[in-house]
Amino acid sequence: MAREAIHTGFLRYAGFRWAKAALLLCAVSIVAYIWHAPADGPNGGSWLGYTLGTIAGLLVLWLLWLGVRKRSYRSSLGSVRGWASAHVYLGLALVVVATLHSGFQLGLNIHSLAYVLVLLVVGSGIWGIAAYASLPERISRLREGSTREAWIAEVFDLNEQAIRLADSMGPEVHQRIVASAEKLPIGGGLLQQWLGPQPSGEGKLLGELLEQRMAGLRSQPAFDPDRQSTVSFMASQLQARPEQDLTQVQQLLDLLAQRNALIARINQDISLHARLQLWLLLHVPISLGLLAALLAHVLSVFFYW
Amino acid sequence: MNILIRTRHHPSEPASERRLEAATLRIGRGSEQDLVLADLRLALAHAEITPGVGKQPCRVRAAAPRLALRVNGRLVAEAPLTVGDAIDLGRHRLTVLAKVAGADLVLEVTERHAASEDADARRQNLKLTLAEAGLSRRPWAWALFLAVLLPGLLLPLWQALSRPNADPAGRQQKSAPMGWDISWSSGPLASAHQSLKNDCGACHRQAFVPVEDASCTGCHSTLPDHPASTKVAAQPPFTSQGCTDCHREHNGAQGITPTDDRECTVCHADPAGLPGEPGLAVHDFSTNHPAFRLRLAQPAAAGSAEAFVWPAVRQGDTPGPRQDSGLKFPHDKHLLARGVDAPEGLRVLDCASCHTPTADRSGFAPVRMETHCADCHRLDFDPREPKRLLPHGSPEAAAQTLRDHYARVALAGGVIDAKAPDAVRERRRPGETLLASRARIALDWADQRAAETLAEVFKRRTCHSCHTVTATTDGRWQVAPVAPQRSAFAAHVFPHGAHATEDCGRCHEAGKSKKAQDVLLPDINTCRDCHGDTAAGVKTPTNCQSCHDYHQHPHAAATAVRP
Repeated sequence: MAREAIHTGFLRYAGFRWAKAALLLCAVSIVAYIWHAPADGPNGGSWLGYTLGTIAGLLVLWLLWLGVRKRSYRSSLGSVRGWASAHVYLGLALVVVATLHSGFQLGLNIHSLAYVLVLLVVGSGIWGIAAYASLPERISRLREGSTREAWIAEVFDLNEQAIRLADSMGPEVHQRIVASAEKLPIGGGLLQQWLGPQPSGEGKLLGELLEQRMAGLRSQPAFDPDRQSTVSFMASQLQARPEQDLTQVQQLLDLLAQRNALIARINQDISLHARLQLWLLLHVPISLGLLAALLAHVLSVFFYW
Repeated sequence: MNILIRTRHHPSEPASERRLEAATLRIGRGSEQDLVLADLRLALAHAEITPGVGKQPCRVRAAAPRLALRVNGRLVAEAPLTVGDAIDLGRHRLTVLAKVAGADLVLEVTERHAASEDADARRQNLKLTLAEAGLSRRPWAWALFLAVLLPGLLLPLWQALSRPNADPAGRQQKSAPMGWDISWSSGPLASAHQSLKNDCGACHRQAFVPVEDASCTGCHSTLPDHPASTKVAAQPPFTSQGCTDCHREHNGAQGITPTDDRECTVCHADPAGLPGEPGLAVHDFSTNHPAFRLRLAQPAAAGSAEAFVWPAVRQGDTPGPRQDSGLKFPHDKHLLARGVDAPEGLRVLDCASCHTPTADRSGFAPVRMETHCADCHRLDFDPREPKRLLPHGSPEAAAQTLRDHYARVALAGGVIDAKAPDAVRERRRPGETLLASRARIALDWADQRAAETLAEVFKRRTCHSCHTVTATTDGRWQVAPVAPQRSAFAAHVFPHGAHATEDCGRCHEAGKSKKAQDVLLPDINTCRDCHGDTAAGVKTPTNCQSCHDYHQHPHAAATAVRP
């Protein structure tokens, strides 16, 4: 509960002050809209249409200003939490005000584009609220007080140990371990970060190799023409130093299992963080598209008055 | 192959040099290698450099399959080496330098990063955040901003400003090509304005100035103003009114003609302050609309230039509206169910027998004596010559016709009439010349017969049936004038065509009307049986424009037509 409050506390900021303000704005707009009912049908060109349009336009500019405000840490104009709270609730109210401003008159033109962009920006913002409502808590639970950097350092350390161990197990094992250490499946592009690393042939081969080796060391394997070279290689190794090698392989497998579990956790952490950011990849660029559409909308309306 | 190896552990340190002679330069972590690189990631025997043969350059290759070997950043199994190439092996870099005297190959060995920095370097290579994966919001934001701004604002603006402001009357003739500013259109134009849809400048003549009346009147030049009087039109509120106050474009199928009654009631609900003759207050059609005002014919005062006046009378006022067109006409006698006497026998009449719709079905053609009445109301006067008819419309012409007729009869002789003089009764022999004295007697008889018949026709039958006829002191007959037929509604038109499916009797009680003075027009309550306000939604929606025309208010009287 306490953790949640850190990240979604802005929703309850100052006793839902901005939620109430936004509700009031919506209620007043809806009542005015119903009462107004102009002779030529509700539209953006009536006096109420201009009023709602002015409010909606100023709201868009102010909401965009959050992008500037959150970068200026020295500002004394309200707390960041207050701004975030107002941003969320007034952003939601913008949908109502902009819809009433449109008078439900939509078409294939710059004016409706601005409206659709408002919906997309607010929609992505709602996604953001949903993300902030659940993901930070999951990140905290996953990390358990540790940090991603510490995990990565540990992965590198485990890799060093594994390579050192593999060094004494012959060049083939060494080579495989080095290759797997070189290609750590951590993070990556958008899809890898979001959905986790996609399975590749490398890891499977390594696991296969070690499993085969374990099997070969524990029992005399059945003859398999496909695996003959590896198996016979293992057999010769086993004959040379059976006890020591078995322990080493077991150690190596433990190291790798430990490393892979850590990598999975790091990727989970990366995925949670990516999902905490993904909506912004839509929210921010579409906001700028909306700013352009808004400029075009306002200027064109008065240019061709 | 003679090889010079320069090793530099740190960029600031001086390089240590070592020469060695080997057929193949073996590189790896193993102590038996020619060039030993202490990096756990390397295989014991990791790579080999073989000397060039002839003009062929030296080649580097991995000592075993699947060993990581990077030349100039690219993962290779084998590659030729030229001066400047960099071989990356673990954290070491081998750079091929220009040959010096006594060496076939010069290699510089440097550490890309120290062993202690290895983890940091590896950490730097990981992409852990969206930003590190190259998914920055800023370039996308700018791209989208420009992607909207360019076609949505800059291109239309450039086009609108560079377009010549051509003569608006001429530009309607051919439709303009679609421009970027089409994206500024707030909605489709009314169907009548389709030819202007790509030509924003046809109406939006000046930037940042609302559409002015001149944009409309360029084409719609003959539309009259709302008040017929120019004096009234020059007073408020008309001075501040523009076309676009009522006609709002870009509403597509909804059209450009106002449909909401408030466009009218905004002034007419409280007409007290309006200039001119604004009439009674009107709030709506269904409950608060004045009774119809009718203009009905009344004989003008004696001495007037015109025989009739059409004063406006409101239904429901006392005395009730009556008209005096100068005619006698009992509707009930003509609409008897058994029919009326006609030359062929009984003929059943209905409304359409006399009232023929006009071509545009907005009303009816005037009833005419010759077309609609004369079949039954024949203007014959002599039973012996039933085909001989009096002319209609002029008592003088009728009198002359009678005199001519009886003069011919008298002079022809052979009239079977005991009271007639001999000169009239005698049969004439062929070639006989009538003596002047006898001819005089015959013509006197003819004049007398003509006068008698005239009195009969005017006073008792034929003309008297429909007209009011008076004898003047000088012995002539005078038919009271008949009013031209015109629409009785003072302020609106009634679209009969739109009501063609209705029975006439539903609104006009003609079957019970005994006199021509009866006014058979229904009152507004009859209309309200079917018609209601647009917002009510329970009856046929009716707005002001359904009956009234803003630009012809009061509408011009229908052309007067004589019966």
